Amino acid sequence: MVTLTIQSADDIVGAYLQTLGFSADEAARSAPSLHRLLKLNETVGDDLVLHMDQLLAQKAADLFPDFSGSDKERTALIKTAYLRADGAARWGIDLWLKKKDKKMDETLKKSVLFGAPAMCLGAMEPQPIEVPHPTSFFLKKVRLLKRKS
Amino acid sequence: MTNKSLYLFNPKQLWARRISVFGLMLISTFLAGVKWTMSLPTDAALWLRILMIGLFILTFAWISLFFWSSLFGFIELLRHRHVPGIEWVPAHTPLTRRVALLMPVYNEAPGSVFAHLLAMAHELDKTGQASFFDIYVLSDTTKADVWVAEEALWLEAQKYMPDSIRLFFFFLPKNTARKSGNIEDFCRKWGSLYESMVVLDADSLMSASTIVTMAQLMEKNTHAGIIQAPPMMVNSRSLFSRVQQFAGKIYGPIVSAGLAFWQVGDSNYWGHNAIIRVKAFMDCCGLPVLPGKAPFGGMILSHDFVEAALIRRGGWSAWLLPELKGSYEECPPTLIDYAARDRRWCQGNMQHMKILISKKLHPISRIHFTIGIMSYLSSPIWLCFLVVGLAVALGREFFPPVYFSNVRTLFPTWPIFDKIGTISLLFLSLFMLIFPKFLGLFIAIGQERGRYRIRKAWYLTKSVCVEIILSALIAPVMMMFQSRFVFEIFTGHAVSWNAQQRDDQRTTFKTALHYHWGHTLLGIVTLAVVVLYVKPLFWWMLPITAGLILSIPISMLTSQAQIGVWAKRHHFFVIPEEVHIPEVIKKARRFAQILAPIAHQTFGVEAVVTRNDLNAAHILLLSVNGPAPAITHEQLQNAQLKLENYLNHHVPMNMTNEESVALLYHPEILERALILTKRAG
Repeated sequence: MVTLTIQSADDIVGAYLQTLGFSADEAARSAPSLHRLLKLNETVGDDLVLHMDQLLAQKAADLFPDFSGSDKERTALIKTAYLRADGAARWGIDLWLKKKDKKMDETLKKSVLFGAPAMCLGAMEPQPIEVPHPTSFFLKKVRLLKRKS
Repeated sequence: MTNKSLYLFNPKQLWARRISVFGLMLISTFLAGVKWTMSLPTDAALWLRILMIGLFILTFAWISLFFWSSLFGFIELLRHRHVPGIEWVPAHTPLTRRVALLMPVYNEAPGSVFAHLLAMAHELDKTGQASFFDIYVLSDTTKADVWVAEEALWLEAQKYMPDSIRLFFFFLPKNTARKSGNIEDFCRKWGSLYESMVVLDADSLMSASTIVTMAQLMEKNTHAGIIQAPPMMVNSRSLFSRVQQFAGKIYGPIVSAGLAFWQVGDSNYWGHNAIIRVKAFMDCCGLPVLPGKAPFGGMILSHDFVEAALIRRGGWSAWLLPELKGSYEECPPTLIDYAARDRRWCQGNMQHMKILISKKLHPISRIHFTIGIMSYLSSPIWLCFLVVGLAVALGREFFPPVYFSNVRTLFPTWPIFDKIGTISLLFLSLFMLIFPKFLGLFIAIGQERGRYRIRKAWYLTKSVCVEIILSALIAPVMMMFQSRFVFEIFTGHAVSWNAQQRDDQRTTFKTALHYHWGHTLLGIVTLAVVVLYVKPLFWWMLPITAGLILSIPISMLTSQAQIGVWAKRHHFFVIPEEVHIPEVIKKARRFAQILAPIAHQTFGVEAVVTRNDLNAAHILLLSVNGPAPAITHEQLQNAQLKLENYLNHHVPMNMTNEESVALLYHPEILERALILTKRAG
C-alpha cells in the first residue's frame, strides 16, 4: 500500500487541499487554519486523510441524500462537484465550516456528476433457442407436407 | 399479443408482396436453371454437370433475389409510399416516455465517440424534447489506458453538455457477451427506467429529428419492438471508403426500400441506429449460450439478427423504415479493415445456421438468417462455380470428345455446347447485378434540385461507372477473403473480437503483401492456365484475374486519403451530405476539434494519480462499475512497486495492462498517490 510518510500534519492537509484545486501557496496558507478549525492534532498520516475524507462524506450525505454509495464514493462525489465548481477559488476552506452556505450548496448540487442514475433492477432471462437436429427438422417438414397432400 | 393483431395491414397484401418478390426469384431462377442445364457441354462428366447446375442455381437465386427486391424498392421510391402498417405522427407531437441513448464502446477512440454524443445532445436540446433523453456510454474496454481516456473525455464532455440531458458513463469490467452483454447489463440495471432505447455504435451519428421521430413512433405504435433507421455512411476520406459511401448513398435507398417492401413488420435489426422497446427486449431478447463449441456454439456473436428474430417470436413487430433519414455511420477506411470486419460478421452469420432451424421462429426471420448466411456463403459458392467451370473447360482441352464410342453407330456423337446460351446467361447475371445500380442512379438524379442539375447528373453517372469498375476489381479479392473466412470457420477456427479500425491509416506495401500475396499468385496462375490451355476464356476470366493480380496496388491505392480527396475534387463519389453537410455532422466535427487536445493525450494510471478531477471522477465512477476483475496478488504488488518508484524516484511506470487495471480498482491507493504527487510537487 502506498503510505503517506510526510511528517507534518500541515503538509498532509496542504497536499490534501491541493488535490481539491488549491494552489500550492494557497494550500500552505490555508492548511494551518483548517488544521486548527477541525482540531486535527490527534490524527496523523493516513488517518488524517481518512478523517478529512469522512468530513467530506458527511457533507456529501447532507447535500445528496439520495446517493446510495459508500463513504469513499460520497467523498469522490463531492470532490468532483467541488473541483468542477472551482470551489477552491470560490469558497476556499468554507466547505469544512459547519454553518450552511446556501449558495455554495446550490452550486455544488448543480456541479455534481453521477456515473449513472440509481439502479432500477429488472430481470432479463436467457430465452430458449431450441435447435432440433437438422435431420429431424427436415423429416418433420417432409411429414407435414405428406400429411397435407 | 397475437400475430393477428400486430399491426394494421391486410395480411393478403402482405403475403402478395412476399409472393411477388420470392415468386419472381424462383421463376427466374428456374428458367435460368433450365437454360443453363441445356447449355452445358454434353461431354462433361455427369457429376460435374450436376455440380455446375447446383452451383449456378444457388448463385443465380442469390442474384435474382437482390434484383427483384431492388426493383420493387425502386417502384416504391417512385411512388413515394410509406411502409404500410406503421402509424406516423406529426413532427411536434410531445413525448411522454423516457428514452435512453446507448453508446456501447470497446477500446474505441473516445474523442470521436464523445464528439458524436455531444453533437446529438445539442441537436436534441434544440427540439425542446431533450429532457426525455439520457445518454449512456457503456464501456467494456479492456485496455486500461483507453478506459481512463474514456473517463477523462466523459469529464471533459460534461462541460459542453446541455443542461437538459444527462451523460452517464458505465464501465463493465468483465463482459463475455460483448455488445449484447453490455446492453443486457444496462437493461437489467436501468432498463426499467425507460420506455425505449436507441442503440448506437461507436461511429453512429443520428440527427435529433430522426431520434425524436423514432421515439414518437414507438409511443404511437405500441406493437413495435424495433424500428431500424437505415444508416448511411459519411465522413469517408480514403478512396475505398468513399467508394463504399457513394455506393451506399446511391444504391442503399432502393435496397432498403426493397427490403421494407416485403418485410413490412417482420424486418431485421442491424445492431445500431435503431430504437428498441425496452420491455420487449427484456422479455424476449436475453441471449442464451448455444450448445457446442465455437465457432457454431458458445456466445451468440451476431446478436442483432437473433434479437430481431426473438422479439418477433415474442409477438412484437420489427420495422425497417427507409423514410427515416439522418442516420449515419462510418465505413472501414481500407479494404483490409473491411475484410477484417467481414471476418467477425462472417463467423456471427455462420453461427446462425444453428439458429435458423430453431423452433417457433417466424418464417421471415428464417429468411433473414438465410440472407445473412448467404451473403458470405455466396463467395465460396461463386469460387467453386468458377473452379468447376474452369475444370470443365480444361477437361475439354485435355480429353478431346469421343465421336465414335465402342457401340457401332452410323453417326458420330457430337458434343453439344450451347455457347450463345451460356454467354446470354452470363450477360443476364451481369444485368441483374448492375441494373439496380442504374435504378439507384435514376432516383438520385431525380432527387437533385436547384441549378446545375445536368452537371450533377453527369458527376453521378461517371461516379457510378467508375464504382462499377472498382467494385468489379475488388469483388474477386473479397470472394477470396470470404471464402477463406468460411473455410476457417467450418474447420473450427474461431475469431477474436478486436476493435474496429476507424481512423484513416493507409495500407503499406508490407501489409498489402502480407494479406494479398496469395491472391496475386492465384491470379497469375489462373491467368497462365487460361492463356496456355483455354484461350477462349481469357476475356471472360479477365475481370477476375485482373482483380486478383492487381490486389496489392488496389489495396494500397484505395487506402489513401489523398486519392480520396483527389477524387472528391474531381467530382467523383461526392454525396449530397458532403455538399450540404447536415447540422449534426458539422457539430460532431466541431466537438471533435474541441475535444482533440484531451483525446490526443496519453492516459493511464499516471493521469489518475496526477489529475485532481480525474482522480475524483475515477473513484466516483468505480461506484457504479461492476465487481473488479480477478487480480492476482502479484499483479497488485508489482503495480504498487512501480507506482512507488514513480512517486519517489520519478521512474516511468511502464505497467502492464493487468497491473494498471489492478491499481485502477484500488481507490485508496489512487487517492493517496495523488496526495503524494501534490506534496512532491
